[in-house]
Amino acid sequence: MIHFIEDRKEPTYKQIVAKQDFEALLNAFQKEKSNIKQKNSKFIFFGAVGFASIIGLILIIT
Amino acid sequence: MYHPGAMRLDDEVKLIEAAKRQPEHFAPLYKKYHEAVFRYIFKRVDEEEIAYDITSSVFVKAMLNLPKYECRGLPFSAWLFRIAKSELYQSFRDKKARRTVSIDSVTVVQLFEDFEQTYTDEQRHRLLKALAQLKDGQLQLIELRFFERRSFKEIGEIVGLSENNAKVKTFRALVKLKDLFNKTKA
Repeated sequence: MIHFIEDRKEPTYKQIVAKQDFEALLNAFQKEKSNIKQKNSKFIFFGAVGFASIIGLILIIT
Repeated sequence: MYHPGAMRLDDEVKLIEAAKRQPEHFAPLYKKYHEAVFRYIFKRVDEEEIAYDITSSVFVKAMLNLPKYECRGLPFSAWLFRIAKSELYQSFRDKKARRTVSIDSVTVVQLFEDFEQTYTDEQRHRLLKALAQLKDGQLQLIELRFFERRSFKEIGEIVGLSENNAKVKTFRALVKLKDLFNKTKA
């Protein structure tokens, strides 16, 4: 469902810049980057544990 | 305003390369395109705060994916607008925002001149009904050309078409809109 807004008042350049400066973006970027790193390291850790368990299981069976 | 300062493409490439090495160097690109991206998003969502949130996630995504970015002769903004479009549609799917079309009376009057119709309240209702029936791709072209008054070159860069193709498709979208308008009752 499309919503129509007529003659909408847009924020000024000053208001936009005041709301979102580059420092805030940089912080959000660093936070997101560390979240991704954390997720990746968890994935690698659990992947390695899983792989080691499978190898261990194979060795026990044989 | 689409290309403030008319920065040359090779100057922009230098900035992109610098930003790839050091995120702090992304600042000039952010300064140059932030307002344009925000306004593009603002016109398509119903709440200002959501527009700020989406704009922020567009630039975070752009910074995260910058190492993979390759310049293919298009301004950096074309890539940013593609990310913006994808973030917008994601927020519509997640129901965080409502698909909105921002129109102003002045541009609507111009559209009616194209239709060879006079602008009345009844005609305006018919137009909104017709716009709502357009396919999303066609609606986007009408928005970009008639409500945001962008050039075909800019439209092409935003939607990923050549300038000529953008012109042809916008013309077809306008024909379709006229057709729907004529079939629609107030």
